[in-house]
Amino acid sequence: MIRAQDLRKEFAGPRGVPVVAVKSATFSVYPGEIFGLLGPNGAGKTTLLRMLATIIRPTSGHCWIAEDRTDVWPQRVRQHVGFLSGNTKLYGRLKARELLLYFGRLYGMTDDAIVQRTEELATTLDMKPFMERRCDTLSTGQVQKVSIARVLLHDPPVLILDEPTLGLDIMTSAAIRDFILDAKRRQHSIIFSTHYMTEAEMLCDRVGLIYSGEIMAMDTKQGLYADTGTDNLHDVFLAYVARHAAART
Amino acid sequence: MNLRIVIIIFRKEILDMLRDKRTLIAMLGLPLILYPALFIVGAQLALMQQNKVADARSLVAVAGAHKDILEGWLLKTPKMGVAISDDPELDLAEGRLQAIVSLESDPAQTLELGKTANILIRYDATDTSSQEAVKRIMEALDAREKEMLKSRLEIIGIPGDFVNPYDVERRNVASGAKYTGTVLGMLMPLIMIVMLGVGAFYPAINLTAGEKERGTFETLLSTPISSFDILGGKFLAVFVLAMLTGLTNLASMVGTFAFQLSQMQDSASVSEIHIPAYSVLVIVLALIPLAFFISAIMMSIAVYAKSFQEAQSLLTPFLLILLFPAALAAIPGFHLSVTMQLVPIANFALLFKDLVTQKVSAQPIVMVLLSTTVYASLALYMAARIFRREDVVLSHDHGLSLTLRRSQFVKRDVPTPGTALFIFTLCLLLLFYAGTYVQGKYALWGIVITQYGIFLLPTLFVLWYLRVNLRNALSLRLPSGSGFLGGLVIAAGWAVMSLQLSVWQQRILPFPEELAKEMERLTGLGDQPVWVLLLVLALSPAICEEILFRGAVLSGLRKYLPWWALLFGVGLAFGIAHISIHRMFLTGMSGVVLTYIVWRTGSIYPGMLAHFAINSTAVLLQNKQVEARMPEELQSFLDAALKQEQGFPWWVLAGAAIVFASGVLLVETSQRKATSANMK
Repeated sequence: MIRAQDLRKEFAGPRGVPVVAVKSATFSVYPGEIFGLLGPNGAGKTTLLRMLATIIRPTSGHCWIAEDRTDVWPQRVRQHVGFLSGNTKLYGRLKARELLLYFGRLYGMTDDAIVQRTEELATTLDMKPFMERRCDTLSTGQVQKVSIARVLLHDPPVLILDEPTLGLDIMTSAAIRDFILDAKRRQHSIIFSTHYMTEAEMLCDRVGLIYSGEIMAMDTKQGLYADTGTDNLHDVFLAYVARHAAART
Repeated sequence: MNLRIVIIIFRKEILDMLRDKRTLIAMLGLPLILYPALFIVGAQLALMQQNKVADARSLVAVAGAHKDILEGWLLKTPKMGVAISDDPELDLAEGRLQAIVSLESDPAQTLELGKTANILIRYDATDTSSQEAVKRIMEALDAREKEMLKSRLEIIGIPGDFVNPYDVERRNVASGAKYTGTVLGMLMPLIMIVMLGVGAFYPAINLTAGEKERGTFETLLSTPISSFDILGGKFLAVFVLAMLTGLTNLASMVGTFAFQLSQMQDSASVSEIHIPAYSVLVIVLALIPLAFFISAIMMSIAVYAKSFQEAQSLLTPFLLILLFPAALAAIPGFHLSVTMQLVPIANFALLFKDLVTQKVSAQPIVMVLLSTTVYASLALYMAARIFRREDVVLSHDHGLSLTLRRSQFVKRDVPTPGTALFIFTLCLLLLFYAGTYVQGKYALWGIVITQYGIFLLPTLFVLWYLRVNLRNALSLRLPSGSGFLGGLVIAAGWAVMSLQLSVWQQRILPFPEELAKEMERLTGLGDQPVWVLLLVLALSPAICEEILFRGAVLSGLRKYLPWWALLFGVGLAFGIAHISIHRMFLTGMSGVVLTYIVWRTGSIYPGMLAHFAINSTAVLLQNKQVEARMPEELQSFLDAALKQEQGFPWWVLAGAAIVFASGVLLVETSQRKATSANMK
C-alpha cells in the first residue's frame, strides 16, 4: 500500500525565493484500490507522484510504500513500484525486446524469468509484431505499450501511473485501462493521475482533487457527488475550484 | 556499488553508443580516414609541388653593360634560360621571369686591376620558383668566381691553397630516426590528449545531457539501483570509449608515420626508430588514469546541461583548455621538473615526450602516474557528488540555474566544510601557480603579494560572495585578557621548542643546500632594515595566514570534526601550504599550536599575536644586523645550539615546556571563565 504524510515539495525559484509545487499532501492507497489524482496541468500531480516513486525527495513530510519509508529505503521502495510518466521515455536505439531485457536485469530478475514474462506481456498487450523493432521507430501507442510492459515486468504490488493514456487512441487506451483493472483484481495498489474525468469515473474507487499544489478534496466518487450535488467529476471539480477561490477571498 | 548492475549498465551504454553514428565517426572515422588523408596525401602533394619546382626551367633576364658575358656564364648552368624582355621589372613582378641579374663593370678589366665587380640579383622571395632560380644563379656565379680567383692567384704566383686555409665539412650525426622521434615526441602527446578528449566528448554528453533530453534518465532512476551504480556504468562506458578512441588514434598515427617513413629515401632510418617496449607500456599505463580524469571531468560538466546542444557549448571550452597543458610538450624548454610532474595533463604530455626520446627514471613515472590517479579520483568523486543532486540530474523539467549570482546564496554564520575546502584549494592552487612565480621573481614584494593577494583577498572575497558572516567565520571577537596572554605565553614556549624540533629534524632529514639558501634569501633578504622584514615576514603572515587557516578553514570544519582531527587537520593544511617536505612538519606543528589557541579562546587575535611572535623570533635570529648587536655570550650560545646543531641544553627545554604549559593553562582558565559566564 501507499501512505503519504504531509508531503511538501519546494523548488529553487528565481532570486532564491522557493516555488511550492506541492503544499501538504496526506493520503493512503490500499491494496486492491485505484486512487485517481485529478487536476489541471501544473497542479502538482506529477511532482506528487515523483515523490512517491522516489525520483525526487520531499522537502518535508514522508511517504511509505509497503511499509518502507521512501527517503530511508529508496532502492527497496523502487523494487516494489512500477512508475510510468511522461518523463519515463524509452531508449530509442534499443529494440523493444532488448529494452525489456535491460530493465528486467536492473530489477534483479533472471534472464529466464524476463524471457517468460516478456512473452506473456507481448501476447496480452499485442506487442509481438514490433518486439524486434527499435523503439525510435515505434508509434506513440506502441511506445506506450512497451512502457506499460516495462512497468509491469517485475509485477510490482504498487503502480504509480502519471497520465498513462495521454495522447493515445481509443483502442490503446482501452487496453491500458484493462491492465489497470486487472492489477486491481490482483490486489495491487494503484495511484494514477489524469485530466480525463470520464476515465477517472470508469476506473477510480477514490479520487483526490489537486489544485495549485493543494489537495482540495478526497473521497469516493459518490461522496464527492453528494458533497457538491452533482453527478459527474467534471462538475465536481469545477465546484471545488469555485469553493477554493471563494475561501481565498 | 553493485558490480553486476554497473556491468549491465555499461554493456547497454556501449551497445547504445555503438549504434550512434557520431560516436563511430569520432572513434573510427576520424583516425582511420583523417590521418592517412592528412599526412600521406598532404605529404605527396607537397612532394609533387617540390618536384615541379625542381624540374622547371628558370627563366631570367640579364641586364647591365656586360650582359653578354653574364649570359654566357648563366647558360652553362642546367635548367636555366635567358629571356629577352622589354620590361623585366614588370615581368618579374608578374611571375613571367624568376630573376633579373645585372653586371655593370667589365669582368675582364676587374680581373686585370684586381678589383671587385658588383652583380645585382633581383628576385621575389615569396615565390619558390624565384628562390630556385637564385640558387641556380648563385651556383653558376660561384663556379665562375672560383675560376677567376684561380687566374688571379696564378698571375701573382700564389698557389690556390694559400687563400683556403681549411676545408670545412659538416656531417649530421643525428639519424633521420632520431629527428623523427623528437618530432613525434612533441606532436603525439598533443594529438593523443586531444583525441582522448574527443573520444570522451560525445559519450559523456550522450549518456548524461543526451539522456536527460531524450527523457530516459527518469526511467533509469525509477529502477531499484543507486545513483552510484548508474554513474559507475556510464562512467565506465565513457572511459572505455575514450580509451578506444585514444588507442585507435595512436595506432593510426603510428601506422601512418611508418608508411610515410617507408616511402622516404633513406628507409634504413625506419628500422632505427626504436621506442622501447617499456616506454609503450608506461604510455598505455599513464593513459588509463588520464582517460579516467578527462572522462570524469567531462561527465561532471555535461550532466549540468539540459540538452545535447547546451552540453556541447559547455564542453567545447574544456576541450580547448585541454590543449594548453597538452601543447607544453611541443614548446622547447619545458621539461618534466618536479613541479611539472604535478600539473595534470601537462605531466602526461611531457612524460610521453621523454619516453619517446630518452631514458626516463622511475621517479617521474611514478609521480605522474600517482598524481594523475589522485586527480582522476578527485574528478570521479566530484562526478559522484553531482550525480546525487536531483536538481542537476532532473534539471530538464524545471530548469537548473547555472548563474552564480550572489543574491542566490543563503546567508550563513560560518562557511560550509565544502566552502572551507574550496577556499583552501583555491589559495593552494593560486600559491602553486602564481605565488611560487612571484616569490621567485620579486623576493620581498613576492611575499607581500602572496600574503595579501593569494591568501587574504581570495578568502575574504569568497566568504563575502557566499554571504558568510565575516565576524563569525573569522572569529573576529576580542578574547579575555588571560586568553590573549595565554596565546602569547604559548608562542614564547613554542618558539624555543620549534627551534629544537628543527635541529632534530635536521639530523633525520637534512635541509637541502638549495632550500637553505632560498630560505636565507627570503628571511635574510640582504640589507633590508629589520622593521621591513618584521612587517613582511612576521606581521603579514600573522594577519593573512590566520584569516585563511584559523579563520575560514577552522570555522568551516569546526562542527564536523572531533577536536583532535580539527587541530591536526587545520595544522596539516597549514603545513601543506608551505609547499615543501622539509618545512611541512614544523609549520604543520606550529599550525596545530595556533589552531589550538584560536579554537580555545574563540578569537583569532591571540592566534595572530602568537603567529607574529613565532615568525618574529625566526626573522630576528637569522638577521645579521641583529646578530651584530647581540651580546657575545648569547650569540655563541645560540650558535652552538642552532648553527652547530647541538640543540638547547635540557634546562632551556624544560623551561620552554613549562612556559608552554602555563600558556595552555591560562588559555584553559579563560575558556572555563567564558563557559561559566555563558552558563550564568
